[in-house]
Amino acid sequence: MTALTSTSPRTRRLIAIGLVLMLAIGFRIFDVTPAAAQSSILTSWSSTTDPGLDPNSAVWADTPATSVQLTAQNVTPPMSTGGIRAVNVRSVHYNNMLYVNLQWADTTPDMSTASVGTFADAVAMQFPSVAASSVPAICMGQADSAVNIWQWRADAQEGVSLMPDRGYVDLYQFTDDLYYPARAAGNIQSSTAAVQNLIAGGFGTLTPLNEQVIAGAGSHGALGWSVTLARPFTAPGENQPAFATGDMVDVAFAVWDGTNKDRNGQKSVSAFVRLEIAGNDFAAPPTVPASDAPFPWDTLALITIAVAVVGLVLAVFGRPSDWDGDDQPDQT
Amino acid sequence: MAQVHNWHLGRDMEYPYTGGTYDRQFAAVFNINRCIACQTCTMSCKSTWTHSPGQELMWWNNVETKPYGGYPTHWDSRLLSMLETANPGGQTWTKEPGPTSAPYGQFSGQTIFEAADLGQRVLGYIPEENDWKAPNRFEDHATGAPRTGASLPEHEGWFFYLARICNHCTYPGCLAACPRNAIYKRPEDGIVLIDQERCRGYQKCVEGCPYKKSMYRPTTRTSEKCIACYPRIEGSDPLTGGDPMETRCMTACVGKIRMQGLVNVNTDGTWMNEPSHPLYYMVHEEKIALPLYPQFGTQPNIYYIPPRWVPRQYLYQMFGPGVDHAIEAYTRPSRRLLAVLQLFRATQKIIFSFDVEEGPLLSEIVVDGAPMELYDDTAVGFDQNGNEIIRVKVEDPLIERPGKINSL
Repeated sequence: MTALTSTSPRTRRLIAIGLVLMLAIGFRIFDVTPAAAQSSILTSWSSTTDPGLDPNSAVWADTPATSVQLTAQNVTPPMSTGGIRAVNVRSVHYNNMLYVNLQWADTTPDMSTASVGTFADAVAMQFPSVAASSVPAICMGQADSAVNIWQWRADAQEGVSLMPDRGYVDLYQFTDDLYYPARAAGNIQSSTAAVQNLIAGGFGTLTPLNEQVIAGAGSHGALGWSVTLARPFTAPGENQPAFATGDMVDVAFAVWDGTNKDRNGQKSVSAFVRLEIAGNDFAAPPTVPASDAPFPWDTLALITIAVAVVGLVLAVFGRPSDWDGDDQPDQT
Repeated sequence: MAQVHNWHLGRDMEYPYTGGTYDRQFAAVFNINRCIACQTCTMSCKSTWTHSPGQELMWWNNVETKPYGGYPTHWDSRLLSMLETANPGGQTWTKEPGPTSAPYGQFSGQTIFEAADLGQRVLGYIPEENDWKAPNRFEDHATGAPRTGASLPEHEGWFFYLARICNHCTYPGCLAACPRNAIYKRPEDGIVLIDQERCRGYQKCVEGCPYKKSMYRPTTRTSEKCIACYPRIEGSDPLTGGDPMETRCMTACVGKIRMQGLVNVNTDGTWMNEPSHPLYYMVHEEKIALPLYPQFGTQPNIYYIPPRWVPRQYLYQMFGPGVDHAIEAYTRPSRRLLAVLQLFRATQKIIFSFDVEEGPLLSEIVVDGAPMELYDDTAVGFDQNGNEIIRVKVEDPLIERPGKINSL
């Protein structure tokens, strides 16, 4: 800080502009897209085969994936430092059941929360709770426009350890639910459900729904996680979206990396993207090879123009080296 | 962030929520000078609340040997170090002790809320599993062996026992850190609880509690903490016939080091002026009992009579600038204070006010080279309705047993 504050204001401005430009170029080179800049459309294709909950089902191999970019949650504390940069989304529907397969790179599976300070890998999808006239706030919705969240957690799938490896205990005299207060209170956190069906209407309001109707399963491979979530097109209760072929619904994604101590708002999130439930008459979907992606001339042009404009502005309005024209070094 | 008043610090400070929404506050005084670390408090709590699967490492009450001991390991020095890193050389107290709203002067450093990292509400850390596994490590370890014997005011080689429970802070770090409002402070007694229905096991409270009294339970995937034996505080224990009763750890205390009660508080978190309340009297009138690490900024509600033999610099860090006065006032107690100290562990019911009835001169003694008179006064404790519940004299009554008390 001392070095920075001792430089002249003009140098500081130049450094700041340079940093912004480098950041923009860095985003492009490393293929990081700020979530707000996305406008992806996902498609849920009609399938003639039941993919089931197996994340490694052959159906997914034939379904094109859309990469949805993720960024660190930095709207409200506790904020995230980021980590997971994208989730590959595939979706089909079969027999009025919506299936979504989510894959993301994470080579260190975190499947146990059996000791303090450990956190599980997890993934979630977020929908506007009902067909609202306006899309709810991306961050957990708002009071008058809630969001429905489906969250899969690796530790829940693993099951709760009843006897953590913590040493020798002669006897547990009391082991009824009463002595597990969270369980006695009916907290879904203490249940064995791998997927939770939740609702939120603002920060800190996440609450399980009475209707736990989301099915799901996850599997970890060499590259990362593959998780399938599924729900019938229609679900009981007024807080869950209904699906039908031809619909366009908004959906957002979040991924937690246990290794990074991700939990709660400390997560990587996407913006809302559009999910189209394709009609039954769709045949096998076209596949777009990655090499067909056009070279990003538009971004290159933007950066060039930005550099030119900044240079021009500095040339015209920049501070001359000798401001007062007295041929003496300026005192700053 | 809201601005709240923290009278321990003698100033306003930043806190995520406005305070002052409660009427009474759970509080206690622990007299460290009398603690023998028998752990009866620890076991009374353990056998009441934390004896089931997943609670193996959970000690809502613990007694650790200072300066080396700590449960979890080095909990205090780690956080002090983090605060020093966040605000190098700035964690200092200024100004002279003032009125009730600033009895220890003013803390000009940063609290755990003010020193929080960007994007976080509280400065903290999560101790690792191993840090919780040896709750009494360094038991009875002294700083060294004295070469010439020990004498007051400061022993050359020293240690002391620090009994700890949740401080049911006025501005809890755990509550501030919880991102989903699963922690709340009860308006009727200021007891801080984790809602076991809402908790999602994020462990932000474990991270944010500076005293590390919020603990993770893997078998429910939620965090649990001291509940201040609230059914007893509410008076639902049949033993007292509906009267508020002190917690298990307090009433089990063999060394009679503890007195717990409920004090009336103002909307700014300061205590209402109640000179006849034993806790108010010790904390605000005599100023012999001090908060634990007040600089953390949570305004904790367990107050400690500091140990007389410990180097003052260590005690200043642990209890703030009120140490010298507290030790002096405790070493040469006033006639009234000496009587009030007899009320510790005289009854299981919560004492809401006291009176002292004067008695005859017992003896003249010498303390620190100066004469002092001891009187056999009687301390009388009253419940919340003003009914007498306990009467105890300065001198223990002499009871002579008959030679034969039964057929043996």
